[in-house]
Amino acid sequence: MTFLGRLWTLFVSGYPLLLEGLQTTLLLAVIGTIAGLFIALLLITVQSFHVMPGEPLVTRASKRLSARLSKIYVAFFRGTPMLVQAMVFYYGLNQMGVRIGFFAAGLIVVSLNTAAYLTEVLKAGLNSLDVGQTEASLSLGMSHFQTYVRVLLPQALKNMVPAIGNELIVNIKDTAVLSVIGVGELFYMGRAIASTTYRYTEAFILVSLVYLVTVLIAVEVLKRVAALFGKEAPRLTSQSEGLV
Amino acid sequence: MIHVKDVTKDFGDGNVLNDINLTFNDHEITVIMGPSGSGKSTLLRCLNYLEVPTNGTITVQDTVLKEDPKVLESVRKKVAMVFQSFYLFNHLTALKNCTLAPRRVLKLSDTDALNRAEDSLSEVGMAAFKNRKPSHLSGGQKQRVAIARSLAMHPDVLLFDEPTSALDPENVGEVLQTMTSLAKKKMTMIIVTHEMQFAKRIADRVIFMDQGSVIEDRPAKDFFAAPASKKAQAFLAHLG
Ligand SMILES: Nc1ncnc2c1ncn2[C@@H]1O[C@H](COP(=O)(O)OP(=O)(O)OP(=O)(O)O)[C@@H](O)[C@H]1O
Ligand SMILES: [Mg+2]
Repeated sequence: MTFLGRLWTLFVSGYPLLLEGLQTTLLLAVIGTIAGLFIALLLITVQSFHVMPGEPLVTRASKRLSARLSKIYVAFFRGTPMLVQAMVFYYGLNQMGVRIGFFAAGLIVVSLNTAAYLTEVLKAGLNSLDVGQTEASLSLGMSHFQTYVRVLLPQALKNMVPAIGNELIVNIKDTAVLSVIGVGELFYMGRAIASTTYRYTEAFILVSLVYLVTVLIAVEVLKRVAALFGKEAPRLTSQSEGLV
Repeated sequence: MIHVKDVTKDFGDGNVLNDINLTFNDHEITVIMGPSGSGKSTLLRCLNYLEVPTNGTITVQDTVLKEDPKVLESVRKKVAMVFQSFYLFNHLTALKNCTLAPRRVLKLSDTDALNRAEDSLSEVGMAAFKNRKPSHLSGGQKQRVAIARSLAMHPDVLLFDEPTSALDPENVGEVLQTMTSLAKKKMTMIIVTHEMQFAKRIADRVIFMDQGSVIEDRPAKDFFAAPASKKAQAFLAHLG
C-alpha cells in the first residue's frame, strides 16, 4: 500500500477518535481563551487602580498589594512552561486531596496561562492610549475608575481584538502539551492511534493535518470577526508568530 | 470665581511658575498670552488640578483644591477644559462624547443627558454630525464637538488651551466663531491663544506671561493699545 493509502486507511479507522480529540481541543482553546480574557480583565484592573495621596492608608495599601500580586501572577505564568504548570497543578491538587478531572485541570491551566498573556497585551494596549484621553475624562469630573472603565478599557479592548484571536490560535496548538496529564485532546488521540497501530509517522502526519485545517479555518473566522471591529486579524506569518 | 494664591510649579529643573497670584472673576473673558514655554498651559492646568502646584493654593468657588478625588471631581464638573488636541473619546460618537459625563458624573437620566448633548451640539453647529465617530470628523469639527462636550456639563468656567493651534488654517475660523458666540453669552472663559485678532475682539482682560511669571495683567483694550513691557511689545509685533 502507498503512503497516502496508509494515511487514508488510518484516517478512516481513526476519525472517531480524532474528532473527539478535536472537539476537546476546541473546547479547551475557546473556553480557555474566553475565561482567560475575563481573568485578564480582573488582573489588569487591579494593576490599574489609581493611588491618590488623599486616600485612607488602608485603601492605598490594598491597592498596592493587589497590583503587586497581579504582577507576580503574570510573571509566574509567563515565566514557566505550560507543560510544567499542568504537572504542578494536576499532581499538586491531587496530592492535596482535591479530586479534579483531566479536562478540568487542563482547562484551568489554559485559562490561567491565557490570562497572564492577555494581561500583558491589555497593559500594552492601555499604555498605548494618549494620556489626553485620561486628562479629558478627568477634566470632566469623571473618577479614575470611571475613566478606566468607560474611556480607557473599551479602547484598549477594541485594539486587542487581533491579539485575542492570536491567542486562540496559539491555544489550539499549545493545548497539545496537556496530553501529558492525560487530557484527551487531539494530540493525545493521535498518540493513542499511533501506539495501537504502530503507524507512528502516518498517525502524527494525520494529526498535523487536522491541526492545520483547524487553524486555517480559525484564521478565516477570526478575519471576519476582526473586520466587525475594523481591525486586522492575526495572520500565519512571522509577524503574528512574533507575538507568540 | 477662581483664586490663585502664591502658586509655584517646579517639574524638577527650576520653576515653571513663579509665585502666581491672580483672581478670575465670573463672566469675565481672560486671554493668556506669552511666548512658548512661558508656563501658560501649566497655569491653566493648575486651575483644575490636572497639574498639582508645588506650592500655593487654588480656590474655585470657595473650594480649596487638594488631591482628594471627591474634591477634584466636584470642582472639575464645574470647570470644563478644551484641549489643543481635542482628546475626544475615540470609541464614542459625537453624541456619546457629550452624554458620557452628564450621565456618569452629573447622574442625569438618559433622556436628560441626551437632550443636553443635543442642545450643546446644536450650539456649536454639530447637530448633524452627532452619530459620527471622531475619526470621521475634521479637526475643526472635532474641536467643536469637544467644546460641546464641555458645554453639556453646564460648567461655570471654560478653560481653553490653544484650541486652534492644532488646526489647519481653513478650520480655525469655525472654532473661533463658536467661541465668540459663547463669549457673547458672557460665559466665564480663560483662553490661552496666539490668535491676536480674536483676542482683541473678545477679551475683557489680558494676562501676559514670560518665564513663569505674570508680567502684565490689564484690561484688554489697554493691553492691545499699548503693552507696557518690552517683552509684550516685541511679542505682539512678532505676531503681527
Ligand atoms: N510634565 C512636564 N515635565 C517637565 N517639564 C514640563 C512639563 N510640562 C511642562 N514643562 C516645562 O514647563 C515649561 C512651561 O511649559 P508650558 O507648557 O506651560 O508652556 P506654554 O507657555 O504653554 O508653552 P506653549 O506656548 O509652547 O504651549 C516648559 O519649559 C516645559 O518644558
Ligand atoms: Mg501650552
